Amino acid sequence: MHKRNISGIELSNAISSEDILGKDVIDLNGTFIGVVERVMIDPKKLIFMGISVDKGFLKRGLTIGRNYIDRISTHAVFLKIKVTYEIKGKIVFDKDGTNLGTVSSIDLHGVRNEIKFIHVRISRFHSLFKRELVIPSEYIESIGENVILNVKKEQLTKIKEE
Amino acid sequence: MGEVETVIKNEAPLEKSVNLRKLIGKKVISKGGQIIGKISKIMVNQKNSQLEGVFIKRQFLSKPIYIGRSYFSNLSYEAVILNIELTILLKGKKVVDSNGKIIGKVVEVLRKDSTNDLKGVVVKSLFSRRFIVPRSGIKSIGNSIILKSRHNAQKKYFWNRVK
Repeated sequence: MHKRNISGIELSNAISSEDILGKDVIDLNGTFIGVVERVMIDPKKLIFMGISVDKGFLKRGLTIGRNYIDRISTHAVFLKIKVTYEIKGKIVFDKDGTNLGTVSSIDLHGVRNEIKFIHVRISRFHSLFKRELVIPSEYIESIGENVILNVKKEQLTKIKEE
Repeated sequence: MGEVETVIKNEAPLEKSVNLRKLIGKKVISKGGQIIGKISKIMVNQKNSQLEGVFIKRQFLSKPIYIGRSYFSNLSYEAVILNIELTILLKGKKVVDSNGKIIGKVVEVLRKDSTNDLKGVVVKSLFSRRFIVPRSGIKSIGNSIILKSRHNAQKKYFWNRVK
């Protein structure tokens, strides 16, 4: 049966929350982040604010603002960013390729997807006393499967002492 | 190292040189931090005696890789860091169309001669025939390969006729 319409605007191209829920969320890198769990709407302005992503069993969920969403397609929600939280657990190498440890946590600039510092849990063999290194984002050369820094291990210690 | 009598003309000082023997067994890491394998052999040019490239030993049953020095970014006693992501390692990655649907996996990588420049990838899924996705049809390469929206990579199932 044809539904009655009192929207006042053309709604034929609109999608409903049911079209978004359960869809895969894929970041700029092609990484599957999780599935859409909730759709967030501003109660006053009545506009779409973002999505909440279920990352799987025992993993903390993630909320992504609409500014970081590229498009919503028939099978997935594409992001226009690499989700910085995905850096956690990656190996950190210095400029020479020395394994410094793994990323244990990150500090962001507010709620933006920008790294301020990464906390690196030092490999047991490299240090007996120091447990963690805090590295500012400017020392990160590239982030891919792992993290490469643009400084040597010795320089990092000097920077910390200064 | 003990005291050494040095006889050099235009070459770099000894302190700035690397002992090639010590590089054997060291890691080779891509631009994005992927550990590709360990150095098994170092090749030197017969004419000018310069380092030409290294052989990389990978996991069990994986073919070794030879990488030329033009793809080296940094060489140290800890590792060799490359200035590229190796396109040959795209094999096995998922291919996702512009709608977010997984259309298969990369079964072959097409390159320009022996360089790292990508020409395209051959994709296959469980019931589909192999089909080629050219470089121009790829939007981004990362943990999986995302295709551009205008690229219409149609799966050709084995029950479809070959034209």
